[in-house]
Amino acid sequence: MKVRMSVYLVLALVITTVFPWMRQLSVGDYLPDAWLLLLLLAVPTPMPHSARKPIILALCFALLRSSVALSSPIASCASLLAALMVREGLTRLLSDSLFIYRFSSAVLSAVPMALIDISIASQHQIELSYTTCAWRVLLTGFIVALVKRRSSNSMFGGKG
Amino acid sequence: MFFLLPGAERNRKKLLTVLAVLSLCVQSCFPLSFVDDAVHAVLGPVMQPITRLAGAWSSLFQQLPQVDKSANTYNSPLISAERQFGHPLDVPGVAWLEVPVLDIDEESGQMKLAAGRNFHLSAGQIVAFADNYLGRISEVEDDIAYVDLFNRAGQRTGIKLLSKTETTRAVCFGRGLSGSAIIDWIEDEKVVEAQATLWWRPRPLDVAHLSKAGLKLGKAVSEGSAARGDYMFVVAHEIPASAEGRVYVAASAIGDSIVAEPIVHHQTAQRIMLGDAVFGNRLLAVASRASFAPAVLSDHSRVCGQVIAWRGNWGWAHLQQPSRWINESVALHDGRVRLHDAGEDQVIYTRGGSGVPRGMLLGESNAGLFTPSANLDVWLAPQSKGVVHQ
Repeated sequence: MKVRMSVYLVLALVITTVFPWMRQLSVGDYLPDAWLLLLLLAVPTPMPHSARKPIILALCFALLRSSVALSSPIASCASLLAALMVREGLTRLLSDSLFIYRFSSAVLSAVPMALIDISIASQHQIELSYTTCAWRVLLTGFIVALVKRRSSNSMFGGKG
Repeated sequence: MFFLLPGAERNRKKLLTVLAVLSLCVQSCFPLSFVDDAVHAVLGPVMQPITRLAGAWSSLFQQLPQVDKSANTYNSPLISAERQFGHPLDVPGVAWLEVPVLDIDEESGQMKLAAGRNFHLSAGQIVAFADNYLGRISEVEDDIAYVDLFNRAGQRTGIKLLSKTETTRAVCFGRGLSGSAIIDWIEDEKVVEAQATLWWRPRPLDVAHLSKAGLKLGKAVSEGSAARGDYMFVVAHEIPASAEGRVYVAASAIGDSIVAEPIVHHQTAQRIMLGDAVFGNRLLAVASRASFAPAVLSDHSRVCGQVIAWRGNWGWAHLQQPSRWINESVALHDGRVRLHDAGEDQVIYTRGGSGVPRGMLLGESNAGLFTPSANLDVWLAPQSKGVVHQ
């Protein structure tokens, strides 16, 4: 079944509306970044030959994310694009057949966002502990690794 | 003929993408403010409706105060106390002009005042706070004046020592950061008594009555060792915490006003979302029609936190409990102003600097975070962009 980009955008808008409230729940601090999660799940590995649609999706998600967060659109773009880039690089080195490989590549792709968030927090003297970031990164890796994505399952209307 | 290697075009694109992402990462970690400002100017109007939508959803689950207070001009008790305590004695022929302080730089031994030629200040006028002599105006611009504090390196100031029977003239010599000003010359080489009060002595061209204002520099304290040959008396002195807010300049001729009010921009603001999707509930999104980038957010009379990002007509404020304002807050103690010490329970006020107006109420020093109401205020003191160094 083809999932169109517009569906992801609507889903991202819903997440944008709901996620700030979820972040304030008692365990909200440890929840993985919803836009990063959605992007990693939406974009197949390895990426399609033309990366135009994944990049547009990342830019839209970044705009939505920075609407409800202190992070600037540039920081959100950097986080999401770096995640895609890291995962793409790792996917070409590692097979995604094993959970541990998928987990590793997803964890490593979530690291740039964690580092950028820590940097922004320190710029504005906001408390953001390393433990919180580590939980976010690990949960991102776990969730992404659970849902196996293959290039044959085209997300952008390509041939399945 | 020129041939591209197989895959060269794809590798070139990859390289450009990597470079672009890296430059975005660098901009995120070491931001150039003009780049962020430009992006926010373009995308801010698109982002604000989304923030409002998310804020409306969140507010369904949050217990938010909706109290709608009317915005009144806030009269800070701190400012009133500074005025009451800081005004030197009135003497005939002298008016004391009240001037806000922008910055005290101990390294250069200079104080920067937020008024200048336009307020009829001129070089040579003396600057005081209560009975403390601080220095003389050395340089005047249209809206700024610089004061050479008496302990500025190389600054010579006349002092006098009073005893029951006679008055002894002396001169002190500023040493800047090297230490307190030393008593360099004493009339007839008389002996200075430890803890003797050192009174300010006017120059011949100063208004004669100024000597009756009872201005003093501090107390005489011995330093060094006679055995080493460096025994001397120095002036034990501290600039009062209140003098970071305003000082008084002696004038024998005045303009229309004797009070130079600091410039403070103020505008009402609305809470649009409590909480941030990345950093949690310590952040608050606010919208305002302010034509300036505000520095601080208040729930009318009480400070909620500093505005840390501004995106045209809305931005993010960091909610802070009063104890987080350590070194940036002052307290009233027996009617006098002093820097707030950690651990003491007292009502504290903003110290000023970094664009934050001085004297805004922070609340009890041990109070927790409070949830701001829907109608707020944003403030900016554009002159106090520098941090007060003390």
